[in-house]
Amino acid sequence: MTLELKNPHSVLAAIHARPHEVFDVHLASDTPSPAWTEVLDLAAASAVRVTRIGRSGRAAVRGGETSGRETLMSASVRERPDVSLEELFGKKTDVDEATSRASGLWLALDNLQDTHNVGAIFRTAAFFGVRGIVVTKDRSAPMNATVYDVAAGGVEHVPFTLVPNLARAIGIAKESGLWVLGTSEHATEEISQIDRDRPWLLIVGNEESGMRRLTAEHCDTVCRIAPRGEVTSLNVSVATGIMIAALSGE
Amino acid sequence: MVERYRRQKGTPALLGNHQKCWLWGRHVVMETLRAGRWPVLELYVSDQLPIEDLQFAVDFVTRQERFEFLKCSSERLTQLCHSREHQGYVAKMAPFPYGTVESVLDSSPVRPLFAVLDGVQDPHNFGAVIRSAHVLGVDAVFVPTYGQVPVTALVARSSAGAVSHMPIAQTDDLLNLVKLLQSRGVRLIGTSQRAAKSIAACDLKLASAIVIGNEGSGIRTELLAACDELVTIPQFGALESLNAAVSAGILFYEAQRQRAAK
Repeated sequence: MTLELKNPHSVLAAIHARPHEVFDVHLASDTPSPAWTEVLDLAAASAVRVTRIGRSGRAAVRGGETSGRETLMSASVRERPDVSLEELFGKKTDVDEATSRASGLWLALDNLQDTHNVGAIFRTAAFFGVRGIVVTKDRSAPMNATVYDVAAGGVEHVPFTLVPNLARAIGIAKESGLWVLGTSEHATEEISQIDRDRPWLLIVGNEESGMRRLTAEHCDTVCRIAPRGEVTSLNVSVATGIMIAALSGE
Repeated sequence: MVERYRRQKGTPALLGNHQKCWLWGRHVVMETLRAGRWPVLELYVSDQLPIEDLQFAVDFVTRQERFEFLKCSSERLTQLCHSREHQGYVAKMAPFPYGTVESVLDSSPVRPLFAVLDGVQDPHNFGAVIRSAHVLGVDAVFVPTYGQVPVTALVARSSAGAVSHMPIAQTDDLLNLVKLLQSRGVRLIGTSQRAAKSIAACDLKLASAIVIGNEGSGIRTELLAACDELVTIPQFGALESLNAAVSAGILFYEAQRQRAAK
């Protein structure tokens, strides 16, 4: 499927990563912003087609989610295909196993509903070098253009796998040598106490209800971020960012 | 903002114009009423709400002096707040009660942790920063009057009601504020991708103010120059920037972790 991306940074990352799958950049302004100018330069250098859209094109997109000239610029980009779980976690027989999986961090998103949260998590994951993300397919936010745009290029850098059954994916992660770390407000262990020198699969729960019970049963350890205020929980993408940061690095 | 709308004698000031003074959603409206800091002028509830919920709302109403309580249809609520996500609760809000810099400083602990926002534009980011600040033990948030999204209904919703608990002070001159903070022994901590020092190596147990920059342009040069210390969040992946709310959360968490460790 083709996605219509509106964030110049997500388009830039897509052209860098896979220029042949960026079909068209729609130029709607004579004075594009610096970020879009960069997109146009890179498109020219990478032989990506640029189409000027006229008045009628403008009229068609008017009344979208946001207004303003910036949103009129866009690019048609092919969806990034997901990879197999085996590929995502790496095979046990890999020669570089000792070095590559002595540590490392993977994520699993358990029925997240909000595409903004999913996109923000991809962006953070790409910043911290997360190795891969498992995304539940059913009753979950779709991997649509909003996810790509909010991730500001993050989707291009982090491989992902869409799964109908998270429990099975967790099983495969364990077989590949990963440890499974759940998150819950009711956990007793702090994220900062978790041993970093292990390959972790960090499970991120739904915005409202958290991790599902069945998912929680498969975790090796469950941790939390200590809450102090009267509004007891953090936004899920912020909480995930804090946990990725705590588990990344030496 | 609010003063732009000329009002008649006797009518209370609103958060925005008559279109933009509405707060909606069960949790955030109830949290605002419960906290009692941000004045609610009128409360509209859906006639389809269960009786316990109505009773709960009525209990609040009877404790207030000048307060309108109105039951109406769900469609009417949607018309008022321009959103279907009201869950049966819509409130007409007075202007947000920002604290003054002086009052906030006077009621802060000995070694405070502050956040200084340098022109955060996106209401969702602003709300998420306030929510994180509240959960992670930040004592107060300072915002500039200009170049920064004010506390709107969207900000309040995205903060999950934390705007009613977090002291938020507004100032016309951020650079002056920074000088005042520094004269009181508060160290100004800025983040920059070029800084050599990692955030973990920075002593945040001391009185500190963490500066959060604008989403696009970061912290403005004058403010960056005024910082006592510049730190960075170590990057290990390909992407070079974090979302403003996520990086604020990581910084606040680090401060809280250091402070809890003693």
